[in-house]
Order: sequence, then C-alpha cells, then structure tokens
Amino acid sequence: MKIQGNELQIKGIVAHIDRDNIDTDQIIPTEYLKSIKKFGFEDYLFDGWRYLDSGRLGMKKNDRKINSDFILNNSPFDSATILLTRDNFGCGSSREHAVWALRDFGIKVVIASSFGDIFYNNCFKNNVLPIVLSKKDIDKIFNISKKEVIQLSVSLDAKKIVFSDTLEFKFEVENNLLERIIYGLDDVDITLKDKQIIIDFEQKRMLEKPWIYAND
Amino acid sequence: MNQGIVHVIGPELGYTLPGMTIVCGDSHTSTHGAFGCLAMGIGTSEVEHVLATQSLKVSKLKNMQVVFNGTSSKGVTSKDIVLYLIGQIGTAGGNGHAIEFSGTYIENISMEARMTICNMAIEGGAKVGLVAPDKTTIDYVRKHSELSSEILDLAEQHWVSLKSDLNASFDKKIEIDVSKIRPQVTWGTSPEMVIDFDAIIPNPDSSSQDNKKNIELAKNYMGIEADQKLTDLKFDRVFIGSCTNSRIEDLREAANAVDGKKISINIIEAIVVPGSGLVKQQAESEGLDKIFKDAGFIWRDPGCSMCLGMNPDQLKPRERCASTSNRNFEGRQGNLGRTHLMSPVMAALTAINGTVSNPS
Repeated sequence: MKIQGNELQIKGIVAHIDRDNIDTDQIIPTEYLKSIKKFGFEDYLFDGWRYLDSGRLGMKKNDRKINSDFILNNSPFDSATILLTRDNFGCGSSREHAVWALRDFGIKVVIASSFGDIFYNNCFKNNVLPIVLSKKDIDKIFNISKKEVIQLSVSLDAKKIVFSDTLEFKFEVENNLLERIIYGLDDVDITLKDKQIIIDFEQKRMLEKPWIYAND
Repeated sequence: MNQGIVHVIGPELGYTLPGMTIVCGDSHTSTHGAFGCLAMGIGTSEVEHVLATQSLKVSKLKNMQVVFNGTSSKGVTSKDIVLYLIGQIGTAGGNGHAIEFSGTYIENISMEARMTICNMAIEGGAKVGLVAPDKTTIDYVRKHSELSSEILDLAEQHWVSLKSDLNASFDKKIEIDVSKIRPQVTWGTSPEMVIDFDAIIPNPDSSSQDNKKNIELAKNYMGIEADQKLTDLKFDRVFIGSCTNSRIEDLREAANAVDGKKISINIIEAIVVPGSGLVKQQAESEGLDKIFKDAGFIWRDPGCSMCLGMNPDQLKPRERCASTSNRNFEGRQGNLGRTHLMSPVMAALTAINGTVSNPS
C-alpha cells in the first residue's frame, strides 16, 4: 500500500507527556495487538493513562471511563499533531501497533531526547516523524508548553522546528528516511529495483553456505 | 510437539544456525544472537519487506562490548547477570548498538544461559546481542540439527571463524566481574529499576531531580511504601516461563528450588509454562512436572502465557507477580498489574515463601 506524502511543513498543537522511558506497552497495551488490522487504533493510544477502566479490543472511546487529568483527553490537546516527551520514547516491543496508534490518533511528529531503535525505524514506515533534540532543547520547549498551549511548525526540508521568529531548533535525520516521509515512498518498490542484485547474491550464497538452505 | 515460542523452538529444532541473519516480528529475536547470529526484531512493515524481497535495509549499528568475567555465586543465574547489566547501563544504554557478550563467564555457560542474556539485550536498548560461536555452540547445533554430517563439517569451518578480531575496536566497552553480582529483582516499571534482592529500594528524596519523578511514579504504580524492601512485599502470583526463561535448564533450576516444599498460602496461583512441546516432554521425562505439581504449581501447555497480557493469563489490578519474563512495564501482565522480574530460582522461592527471599 502506498502512503500519501506529506506537506513539507507540519504545523500543529503540541501535547506534552513529561516522562522518560515511555514504552510500547504504555503507547498501546498488548491487549489490542490481537487485531489483525493495520488501522483503527486511535481509541487505544496510551490506554492505561487515558482511561480509568480496563478496555478490550473493539471498545470505543465513548464506552470507556475517561481520565480527565490526562492531557490528550482535554481540548485543544485532543487534536494535537505533535507529541513532546523525554528520553527513550518507544522502548520495548517491535510491534508496529505503537506507531499505528499514534498515527491513527493524528500524531505526525514525536519530539524526544532519544527513541527505542525499533520504534524509531517503524515510525518512518507510517508517516510519523521522530525528532531527536538535546535534553536542553527539550527542556526549553517543555517550559513553554507547560505554561501555554503552543503550536510548532516543523519544516521537513530545512530540518528545523520553528516556534517563533526568535526560537527555532535544528534537527538531524538521515535523508533517505526523511524522503520516505516527504514522498510517501514504498520501500518494497524501491528495493525491487535491485531485484537482480538480490537474486545474484542468493544464488552465490546458496553455493558458498549450503547449510543455510538445507533446512528449507 | 514441535510447537512453542519461536525463540525457543528456532534453536531447539536446529533452524537457528551460527552466522545467520534472522529477523522476526518480535523484539526478543535478539535471543538467536546466542548462536553468533545477527538477529533482530522488526516491525510489521519490515516483515512485509523481507517476505517480498528477501532483504532489509539496515543502518550499520555501533558496537558495544560487554565482557563478563569470573564465576557467579551460588543461586545467581544468567538472568541475574543480564538484569544487573541493564541496571548499570539503563534501558537506553544500548540504543543504536549491537552488543557482543564475551569473557570467561560467557565462555563457561550453556547455550540456554547465553540465550537468556541475548534475549534481554533489547531491554538494555540493543536490538542485537550476540556471542561468538565456540565449542559449546557447535555441540548444541550438532545435537539439534538434522543436517548431514558432511554439511555440518563444512559449516563448522565457517562458524569457528565468526569472532571479533583480537584488536577489534568497539564504540563502547564495559567489563563486569560477575562474582560480585547477587540475585537481582526489579522493583519498578522498567527493567533498569533493578537491585539486589535485599537492597534498599531507591528513595525519590535522595535522588537527582531527573530521576526523582521516575522513581516516584514507579513506586506509586508498584504500591511500594517509602521504607519497604522487596523482601517486605507479599506476592499474589508466580509465573515461570516466557522466551527468556522457559528452557529445560530454567525448569530444572526452579524445580530444584521447590523440591519437597509447598507454595505459600498467600499465593493465589503459581504457574509453570514450558517454552515448547519438546521442553515440556523433556521436563516430564525427568519428573519435573511432578515436583512442581506436588508443590502446588500448575503445570501448563507451552506458550507465551503470562508474559504479555495478550491472552487470558493476566494479573488482576494491583496483584503482585514474581515473573521470569522480560518486561515489567506498567500493565504488561494485565491492567494495573505489578510485575517483579527475577530468575527462575528466585521466582520458585517466592512461590514457596510468599515473599522474595535469599536463595543461598
């Protein structure tokens, strides 16, 4: 399936969650990973914090007891497209449902001081941009975000986050990953352009390391 | 009979071979690194990519060397060793890295114990954790593989070459003397929140500002009062199993600790879940099932069971569980459940005593 490309600017309201090590089970509990669909996880994002009762697959937001203290349950953060958090966001599971839940909720950018490796990769497959900033810069944005509702503008081509004329943050991201988001490219299509190289490699290896194939 | 947890059956059916690149839609795929494989967890999109193209684009990982030297004390297992490491480097300590585990301790332990360590590499942030193949590896593979001896002889020549050069450089290097490590038990909601089983649980008031909030949130979630120790906590359930600790060696160690004893009246349920049909069969042929059942444990069919709250085996809110699994995240074993990670020996003893206790 092709994912639509993004605008070069992503502008939106920032929701902040001031915690380190937010793991994939917090982003979406395993209960909901039984779904074999790739969409429809918006109501289960941060399930353990967002609701006061236990949920199960198939339940909708309106069936649940809402925790009104949780930021994403309150306007205007319920329409946030940028999530601000701390260290090691998305550590834990390789299941892509964590990114799907963020994406389905409407989150397009996650800003953190670091990410779990597998989660970071999974983001780029789903049009969610993970941005790493220094702890100092994260602190700065937290300080403002805790006082007032803020909007940030993320420029994908210039690789910067703009808060105001005087406050902006540059970020680094590999160009091939960024292009994946900008153009909504399909990885399988890109790789299959090199199909012959893959076939040649496999044939050569079959001769050199026959034990790998002997179990097939 | 050949069914079970993928990270248990891959090696035991002889499919996992040294030097392979192995990917699977599960983060604990790092387990197969115990055979000198480049093995890592990937997401659904990447699984699709592999099935469609037989390949995957991966950025080069940084290298981290973890050297475990020495001999472990009585009652200390590879689970304690890897939990201790995660306590030292933190759950983000290995981010962006592949870890190579080496040292005299690693050289002397079984493949099962190496698998437990590589399995938990991801809990230290590293999606790859591996051990260079040696005689232990090759003996294991020969025992489990159905390949012909001609092919295995040919393969072995290649496998013994899979090791780091003596002068290899690493981006990060850590040396740990395992003789000083004591049984480890997690107290919080992240695998890095781990201490000696009888140590003082960190106090938010005496911690740095950065850490204060994490400690407060975790202690609150886990229902731990200010001055309580792990040995003061009353447990409700015990789970021995998961891709980390459900192999035959794990079950032997746990059975040895409960032999002739009865589980505490405080324990609502204690379950033992072998990692595969073959592990279950082997355990039953050794009479381990009888030891567990006589002690009051429930002997189950193989599977992931209570590791991840994706099936009916779940904790009820605020229940406290001694678990040999790999993640103590909030809600991991069921909404509001409280998970303490530990070795099979420590979990077995917790079932008997109702509290965390000294294994020696």
